[in-house]
Order: sequence, then C-alpha cells, then structure tokens
Amino acid sequence: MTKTPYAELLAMLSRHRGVVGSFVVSERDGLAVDSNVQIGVHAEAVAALAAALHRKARLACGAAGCGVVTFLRLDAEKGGVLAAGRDDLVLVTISEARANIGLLRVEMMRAAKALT
Amino acid sequence: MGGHRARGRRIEQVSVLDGSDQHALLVDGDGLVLAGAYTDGDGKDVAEVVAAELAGVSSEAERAMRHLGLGAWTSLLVEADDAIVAMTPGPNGSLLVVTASRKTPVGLVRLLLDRVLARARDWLVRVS
Repeated sequence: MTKTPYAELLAMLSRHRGVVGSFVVSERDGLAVDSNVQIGVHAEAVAALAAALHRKARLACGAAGCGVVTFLRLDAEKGGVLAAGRDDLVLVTISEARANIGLLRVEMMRAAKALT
Repeated sequence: MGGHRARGRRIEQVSVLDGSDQHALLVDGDGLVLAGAYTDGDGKDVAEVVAAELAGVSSEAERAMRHLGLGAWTSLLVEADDAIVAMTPGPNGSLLVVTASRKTPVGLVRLLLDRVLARARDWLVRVS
C-alpha cells in the first residue's frame, strides 16, 4: 500500500490507549484517504459514516449560526467517535470507552490544522 | 453565537444555565420544539430551524453507532468557531440540546448537559 503524508500521524493516534482506528477522510465523498486500524475494523464503512456525521454537523451548525465545526465527539455506551477537520479533509478516531479523550482531542485539533 | 439569547417558552431546566450565552432546547422526535428558545444575533427566533437541523444530526449519530457496534449513542458534542453544541437523547424519544459560547469550557458544557437532562426529565413528567 502506498504510504501517504498522513501515515505517521495516524500511527501516532492509533498508539493511544483505547484507540482502535484512525482515519483521514474526505468529507465530500466519504472515502478514506488513509487509515490505521486494528484487525476487524471496517475502514471504508467507518470512514463513510464519520464523513456523513461530520457533514451533517457542519451543515446544522451553519444553519444555527454557530460557525465552522472544528471538533466533534460522539459518545456511545462502549466507545465513541472523534472527528476534527476543516474544509474537506477530516481526521477521525474510533475509540473504546477507556481512551483518554482529552489528550486525543488536543492532539487531533493540533493535527487537523496541518491537514492539507 | 454571541448574540443568542433564550427567551419565551422558557422551561425550568434552563435555570441551571449560567449566563445569557448558554441555552437549552428540548426537541421531540420529529424535530419540533417542546420547550426552550433560541434567537440569533439579530433577535430573530430560530429555535424551529435549529431544532430541525440538529434533530437530523442525532439521526445520523444513531445510524453511525448502529453500524459501528459501539452501543447506543449517549451524547454528541460539536465545537464550532462561535459556539459549542451538546446534545443527548432525552425521555420519550426527545432530544436535549445545550448551546454555549465558544469561550465556555468544553467540560462545563458536558456537565450542563447532564444537569439540564435531569431537569428535563422532571419537567416532562410534570407536564405529561
């Protein structure tokens, strides 16, 4: 598989406790640009779902006058989805409940600024 | 979101919010406002629009969690340039939305969401 400019970033995020996968996703078409996932995680499906969620949140926030979405956190009973991005590219992580969300948030927001 | 202010249809759970830059909306399963209000910077009531748009986000969250196998979604927090929006499933298929200005600490918004949810449950029991 061709190594992309995002490989090191995704590897770094995936080393965090509780992270089962990290992705760079195109919000426009829901396709994964690059991913680093554990065995059993369906990267294409997760990328599409995360992109759709981020797009919906961006449109809703625009309609509500809240400005441009910079970070999104979806919590569930057994884990959650984090997404950070601007424009078309979105950085996404899927995590278990034991993940350190505060640390991931800081690193993802920092990294998302450099997404091009 | 600096000019947004809650007014009219004020419900008791809003009283746990501190300051004019924190607001709550209770929305039913169809995206209709049950309680709360939301005005834009020009003073125009946009609660119906916001409720309908954000209800769509919760549907997307539900769909995503169903496919990811992470269990039911419990909360969604969106940070934007001008505001932080937090939402959680409420009683009887409703959706509770709390918004705050961007300067509000993210952890505080989560805390407010939990507190407003408890008030919303009480309020719904009383009015139903």
